[in-house]
Amino acid sequence: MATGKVKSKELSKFLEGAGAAGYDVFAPARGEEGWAFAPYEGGEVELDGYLLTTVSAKGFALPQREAVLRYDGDDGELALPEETKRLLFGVRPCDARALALLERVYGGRGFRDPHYLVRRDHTVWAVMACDLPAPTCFCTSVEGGPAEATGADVMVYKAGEDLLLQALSPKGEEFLKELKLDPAPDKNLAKAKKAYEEIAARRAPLWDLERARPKLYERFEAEAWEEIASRCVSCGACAFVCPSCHCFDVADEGKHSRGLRLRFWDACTQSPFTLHASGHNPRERKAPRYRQRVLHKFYYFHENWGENLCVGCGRCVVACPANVDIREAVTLVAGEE
Amino acid sequence: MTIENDIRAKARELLERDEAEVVIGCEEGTTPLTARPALLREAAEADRLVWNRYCTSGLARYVLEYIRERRRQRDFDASAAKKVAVVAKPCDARALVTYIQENQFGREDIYVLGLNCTPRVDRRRVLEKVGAYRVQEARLDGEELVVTTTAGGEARLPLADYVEASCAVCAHLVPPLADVTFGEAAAPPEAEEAFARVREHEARSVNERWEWVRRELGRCLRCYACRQVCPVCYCEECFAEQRHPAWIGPATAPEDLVAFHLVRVFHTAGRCIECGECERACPMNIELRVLSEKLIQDVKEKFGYEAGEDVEARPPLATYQPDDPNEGFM
Repeated sequence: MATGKVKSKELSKFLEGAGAAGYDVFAPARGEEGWAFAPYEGGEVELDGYLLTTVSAKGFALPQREAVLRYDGDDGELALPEETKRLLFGVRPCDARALALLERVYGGRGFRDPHYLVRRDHTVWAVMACDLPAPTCFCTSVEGGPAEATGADVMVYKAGEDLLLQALSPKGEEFLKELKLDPAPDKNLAKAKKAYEEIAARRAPLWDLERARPKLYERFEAEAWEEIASRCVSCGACAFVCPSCHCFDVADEGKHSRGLRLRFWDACTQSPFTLHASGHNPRERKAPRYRQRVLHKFYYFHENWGENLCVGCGRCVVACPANVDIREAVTLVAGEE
Repeated sequence: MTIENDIRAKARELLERDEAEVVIGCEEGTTPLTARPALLREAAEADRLVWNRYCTSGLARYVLEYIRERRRQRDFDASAAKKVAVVAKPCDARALVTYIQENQFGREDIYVLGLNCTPRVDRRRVLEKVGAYRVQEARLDGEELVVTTTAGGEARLPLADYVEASCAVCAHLVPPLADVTFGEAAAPPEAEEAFARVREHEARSVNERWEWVRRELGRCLRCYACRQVCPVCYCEECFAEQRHPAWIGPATAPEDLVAFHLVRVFHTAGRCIECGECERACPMNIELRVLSEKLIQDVKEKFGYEAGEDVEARPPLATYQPDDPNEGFM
C-alpha cells in the first residue's frame, strides 16, 4: 500500500495539493461552536488544540438534511448528490470507525442506499491518530483505539516534525498516488504506530464489554435505567453530535404535487420518535427512550451486525445539557453481579 | 460549605419525615466543571446534594415534569400526594412562580429550599479558553479556578472573568418564593449591564443583523435542547413538531431554523425568567439570549412587568388594558 511523508509545517501545501488534484478539501477549523470540519480555502492550518469536532464527521456520509427524491406530478427522480471528489482531513479514528458501522446499514448486505454510496465512493477519509485523548474519550472500552484504522482510507500518524501517511483502501491508494508524496520509511511508520500503542495501553477499558453486553439486555427492567434517565431532558443533542447514530425521519416538502422528499436525522431520546399515527406512544417515558439509545449502541446493533455501535468518542457526554453519561449508564446497569 | 450542609440536612429531614416524596437538587457531575440535576427519594441519599459554582442546571422543569408524570399514574391520589421539594436558585423560584400563575400546579404541591444567589461559573467560556476536550481537572483556589489540561499544563483563571453570562446581568438574587432560605445574596450588578447585549445587537445594521441570524441560527441542529431545558417551554405538543398543519418544515432548512427560534422565543414573551439555560444547553453555542433578552426588555419597558416575581400578578399576555401599547397593530 502507498505511503507518504508530509512535514507538519507543510500541511497546507499538502492540502493545497489535494485541492489542485481536484478534491474539495475539508479540515478541522475553529468555529463558533468549537471545532468543525470546514472547507479548506488555502493558508495555514492551525490544528493546535484540536481533538474532536463538536459535531462528528457523520454528515459527510449521511447529511443532517438531504433531498432523496424530487417529484412533479406523476414524475419523480432520485435526487442524487453531486459526484465531486472530497478529502476529509483530520477525522479521528472514532468517527472513521463509526463510518464503517454506517456502511453495514447503508452500503452493506441487503439494502444499498444510492445517496450514501455516491458520497462514500467520492470521499477520502484521512484519519489522524490521537496523541492526546480527553478524559471523556473511551474508545479503548469499546474495542477501538487512538490509532485504530477501521474505516480509514488513509491513516495519518504524527512522527516528530513529520506526518506519516499510509493508504488503507483502494480509494486511499489512488489518492496518495495522485499526490506524489515522498514515501514514509517503513521503520518510521512502525515506530510511530508503536508510540500510539503506548497511548492506548494507558487507557484501561472501563468494562469487560463481552460481559457487560448481555447484562444490559438481561437487566431491561432494572431500576438503574430510571435513575440514569431521571435527569435526561429528552432533547436530541446526544444523537446529533454522535458519529454512529444513524436513524432518520422522512418528510415531503413542497406542494402535494411538486416538491422534495427529505431525509433528516432523528433522535430516539425525543418523545415523538416513536409516536404512532393513532396517538399512542410506546416509549412515552424518557427512561425507556434512553434505554433504547444505550441498548441500540451496546446490544441490538451487535445482535444484527456483530459490532458495538458506540465508538467511545464521548461527544454525548460533553454535549448533554444534563450530564447524562453513557459510560455511567453502562457501568450502573451492567456493573454489579 | 455550610450552605451545602444546610441543604442536605433539610433534604434529609423532609424525606425522613415523609414531608416530601422527592427532593430535586444538584449533584456532582461526571466531568470537571459540572454539576447536574438529581432526584432523591431516600433520606440516605441527601449527601449527594451539592451547592457549588457549577450548579447552573434549571431544576424547576424537573418539578413540573415530576408532577405531570405523577398525575398520569392510574392510582394517583391527589389528596394523599406529598410535596415535591426543590432546591431553587432565584431563577428556578421565578419559574415556579410562573407555573403557579399558569395553573400548572399549586403552591401547596411544592416545598422550596430557596437559595440567595451568587454568580455561577461559565463552563463554556472556560472550555473555550482551555479547549473543550482538554480539561483534565478543575479546582477552586480562592477566587481562582485552577484547570489542569491533558497536555500537562495548568491555567489559573480569575473567577471574576468567568462569570456565567446570565448571572453577570442578573438582578434577581433572592428567590421570590421559598419555604426556607439559605445563604447570602451577592450584590446585584450595575444597572447598565442589563440588556448590554441587546443594545449591542440593536446597534448593528440590518445587514449585520441578518448576518447574525445566518451565522447563529443557521448552525442550529434542531436538537431542541434549548426548548427542553427552558422552564417555560413546556407545551405538551410543540408547534415545531405539529404536522397537521405543519407550521414549519421538520428539518434544518435555514428558514425553518429561523422560524423555530423566533416563534419559540415569542412564546416565552413575558414568561422568560432569564435563567440562561437555553444558551448553556445549546451544543452549538448559539447566542440565544440575544433574542430572549430583547423580549424581556420590551415587556419591562412597555408593560412594566417582570416574569416570575409574584404569584398574584397577572402576566401582560394574560390580561388586557385599554392603554396597552398597540405598536405593530394597523
